Amino acid sequence: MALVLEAQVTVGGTVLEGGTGEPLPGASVILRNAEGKIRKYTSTDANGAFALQSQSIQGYTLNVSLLGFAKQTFSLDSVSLPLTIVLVPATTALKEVAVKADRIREQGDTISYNVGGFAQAQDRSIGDVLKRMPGLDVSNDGRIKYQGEDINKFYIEGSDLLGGKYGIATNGISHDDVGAVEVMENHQPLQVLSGISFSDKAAINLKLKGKAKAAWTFHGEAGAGYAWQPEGAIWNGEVFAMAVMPGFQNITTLKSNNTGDNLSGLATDFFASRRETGLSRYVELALPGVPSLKAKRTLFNRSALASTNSLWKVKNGELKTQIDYTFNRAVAQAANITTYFLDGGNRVVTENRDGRDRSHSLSGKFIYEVNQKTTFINNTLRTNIDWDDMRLNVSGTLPNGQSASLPDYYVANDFKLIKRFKGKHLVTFRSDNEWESLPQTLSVSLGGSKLGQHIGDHAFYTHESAAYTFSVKGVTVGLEGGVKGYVRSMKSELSGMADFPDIQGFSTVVSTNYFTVYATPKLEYWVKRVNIILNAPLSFAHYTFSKALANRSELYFSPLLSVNWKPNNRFSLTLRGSSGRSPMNLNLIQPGYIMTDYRSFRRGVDDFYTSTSQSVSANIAYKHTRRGLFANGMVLQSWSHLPYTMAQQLFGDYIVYSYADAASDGKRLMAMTNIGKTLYFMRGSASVKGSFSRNESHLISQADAVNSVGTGWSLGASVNGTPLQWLGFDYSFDFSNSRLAIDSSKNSWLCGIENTLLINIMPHPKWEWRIKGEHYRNELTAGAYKNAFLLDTKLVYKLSKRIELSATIDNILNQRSYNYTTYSELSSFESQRRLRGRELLLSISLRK
Amino acid sequence: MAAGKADLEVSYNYKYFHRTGVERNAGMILLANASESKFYSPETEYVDSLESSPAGRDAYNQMKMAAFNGGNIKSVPSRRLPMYIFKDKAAGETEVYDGQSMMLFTFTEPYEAQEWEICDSTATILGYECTMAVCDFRGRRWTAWFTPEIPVQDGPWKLSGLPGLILAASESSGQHAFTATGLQTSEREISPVFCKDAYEKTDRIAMLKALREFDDNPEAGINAALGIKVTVSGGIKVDKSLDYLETDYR
Repeated sequence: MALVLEAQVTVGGTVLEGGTGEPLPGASVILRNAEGKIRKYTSTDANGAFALQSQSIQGYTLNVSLLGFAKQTFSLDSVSLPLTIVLVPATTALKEVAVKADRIREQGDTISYNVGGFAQAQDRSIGDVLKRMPGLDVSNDGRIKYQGEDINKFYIEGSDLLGGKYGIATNGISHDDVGAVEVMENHQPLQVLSGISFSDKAAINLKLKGKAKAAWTFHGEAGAGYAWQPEGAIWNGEVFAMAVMPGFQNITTLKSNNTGDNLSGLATDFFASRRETGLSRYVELALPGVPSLKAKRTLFNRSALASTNSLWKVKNGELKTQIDYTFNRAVAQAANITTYFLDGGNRVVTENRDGRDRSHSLSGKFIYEVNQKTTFINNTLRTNIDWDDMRLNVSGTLPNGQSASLPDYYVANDFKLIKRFKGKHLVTFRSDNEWESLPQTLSVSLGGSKLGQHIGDHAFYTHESAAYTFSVKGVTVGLEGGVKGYVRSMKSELSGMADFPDIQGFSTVVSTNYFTVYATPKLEYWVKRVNIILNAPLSFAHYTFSKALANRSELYFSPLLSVNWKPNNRFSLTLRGSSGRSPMNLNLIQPGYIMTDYRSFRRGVDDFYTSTSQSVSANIAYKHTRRGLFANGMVLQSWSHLPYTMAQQLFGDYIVYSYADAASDGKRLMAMTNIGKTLYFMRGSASVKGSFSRNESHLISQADAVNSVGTGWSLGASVNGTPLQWLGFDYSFDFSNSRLAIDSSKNSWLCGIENTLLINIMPHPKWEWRIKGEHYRNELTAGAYKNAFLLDTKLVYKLSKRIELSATIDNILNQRSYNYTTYSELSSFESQRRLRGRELLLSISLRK
Repeated sequence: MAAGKADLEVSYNYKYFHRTGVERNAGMILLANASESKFYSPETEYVDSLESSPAGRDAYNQMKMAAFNGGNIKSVPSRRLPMYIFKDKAAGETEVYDGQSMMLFTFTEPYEAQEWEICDSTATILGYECTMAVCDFRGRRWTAWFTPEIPVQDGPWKLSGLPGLILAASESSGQHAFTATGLQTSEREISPVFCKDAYEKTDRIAMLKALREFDDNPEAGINAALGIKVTVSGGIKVDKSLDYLETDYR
């Protein structure tokens, strides 16, 4: 037996930082025995020193570790004491599990999403991250839905800078600048209405990080490269500047590209209500259709956007200006070859279509708003000018050329004043005025003859109203009354129509005017968990028309009932029902012939009709914030009854669309559902959605009544996550199936499948590699499928926190066309469409 | 007290029992770096941040009114669990904010790591291999699970001093338990309490005694706190077997 020395050994030393030699306090020091069991432990003091007493150190190891430094482990058998240990800075690879309490948080009616908890390496804008937050849905143009319903406000640090044009923000603001996204359920944006009127809509508020507040933030990207089809140079550039200060906010952005991204949609006002001037284009020229692939694959464009939006806080209110200019030039080509198998040899009809559409849009919005507890004032002046020039040439068996000039001029001023007094009494005054002019010119050259269609169409609308509302014990009673006036005149002239000397009506002048007096009683019952709203608008309208039609007076009553039940914070159910009579679309009153494209004419009705409609709908929403579960569903059934029916008839080579004096009943059923769930274990989320629709309508073709039923359903699923520190993915699957049945003959179901997978590999904090594959499978005719597979890749190098370099190759396989042929017993049909070919883009992005 | 940046953010579920015997679960956050940490209820911090400015107070009142009208008053954030524990190892101090929604207290005590005994048992929590350790602390026997893989000698509440982060801890009666639900690297600031004035200065034993007195006779406590007379028919039922995280005040 060996003699054991009963002496204590002191294992002591100092822990220093590599490079600087500074002592490291708080480092964890663990002494383990030969079996790896912890025998002693301590942490370093302010001088980086430590000391451990142990009876033996035979076979022992010492671990020294500190977050942010590489761990050191060594055997004590071969070292001399005291120790000097140098730790080298290194990123500690933590197996991160998203901090739950903070990723989605719920406080009353506000749900807060932590942006960092949902962001992935490939994300740029806040919109990219919003898409991943369960319960939220963002479409490509930036429109946001929460639990299936459009949001009613988009705030940045509590201020409404952009109004309905928040697509500028969702697509522009870097997710790095946003700390949290708040969803405010049942948001009532007007303070005067708080506690009086219920809102079932939600609003979004972006909470910026400290660094993005009280200073201008900038980011920009410039990219240039080469495309294989159309052969030539490509570019993609963006500058985004934002100031969010206590008294002033501004977002200014400039963008341009020719890489298949139409920027016009970004300046869309998602909150814009329908223009009451009610004009719509008669000329219906459109570029050749494109295959059902993502727009980026088929759009041959040059696009630009300039937008500047400012908000000043003045005394009690806010002054806002929003000015936007967008430009998009798109070209499209299509070739169709139809072969008729005839006894005397095949007959081939070819049609090559080549079109160009150039659209500019300039809009300005000037708003003054006071939003206080007792007063709400809003005056909004809107001006909008659009120019749209289109050219379409068809060569082949029936060559022709068409060009259209379709400008639009619009000015509107809306004023609203609400005063609250004695607690729960409200008076509201409104005055809305709108003017619009929509001239249209279509020129057609066909076989040596030239045709010209000119239309002048302008309208003025005015609406003045007053309302009184009061609230007692959860019941809000209101009465709104007002007058509406409308003056419109349309002039149409077709020149060069020598073929049909006997047909009258190639030049028409129509005026459609009305004067309406209305009263709308409103009842809102708000008790505990149930909100009931009843609106019963009653109006008297007097219509005056130019010569052809007799003047008319009509009485309309269209009640609407809505019930919302929210038994608890998680569940909400809304039922709505409405019924009523409404006047027809006044654009349809037009007794002449208007050429809408080189082979179609439209003839309106020569009488005034009213239609009736009913609809019922149910919305259901459930959420469990702590579990990150959001679900919603919607069902809508509507019925319409029109005393006229659309008819189509052939006159030689021309198709004439007109209206026949026959009743038409339509029926529509729609259902949708969406379920989203966070997947905490891999910092991701998943969603499943489905929809169903059935549309029944009538048409009269060649004097025969035709009943058509369109049925469609779709299923979609997506999942994304970052299961490993260096690996992220985003996968989505969409399936749609539709069928059109005309009378008793049912076409077969046609389906489309789309699979998209993005894989993001981050082998090193500075490098990132992305691969994206898109697979489409579209059913052309029963059992005949067209497959398309497109592959993209991107390599990103992060030079510093502010500078990033990237190289992108889109459509690596250089798929240049989307051609297919379908056969029937008597003919074959070949369709040829071009796709954007392989593209190489080198970009640099900078941020301040 | 220094306000540095955290290296690590950990979320814990804190299971405890309300005085009426109803089990409650609260989401808690630990922000920690090598020398200091903050363990708190984010809900309480949210209310404190609202209460600390007039605009915030207005917003909070509106929120309460809206919830009251909507019949879902329970959804309004409140100081259900007013707790912040700031451990400053360099200064050797622990700053405590504690109490219940009607009685808010604060005091500073010396920073004290528990005397742990490391055991052989291991378990995996959130993917980390954890080792068991036990200690006696202020009247209760605690069992903790810590991971040497994360070299932060800290944990939920006042528990700390093990050679690795404590991911779970429970005491022997089953009345209190902390379990980590998530963790990630962080650069969040270890910010001080927003509304310090709302917390009355006291010492630890005095606070625990005051809370005991209230909980033993909640009606009298509520009447005293609100200055009004509240009677609950049949009285408020109190589960006498329950006690606080520390029981050494008795």
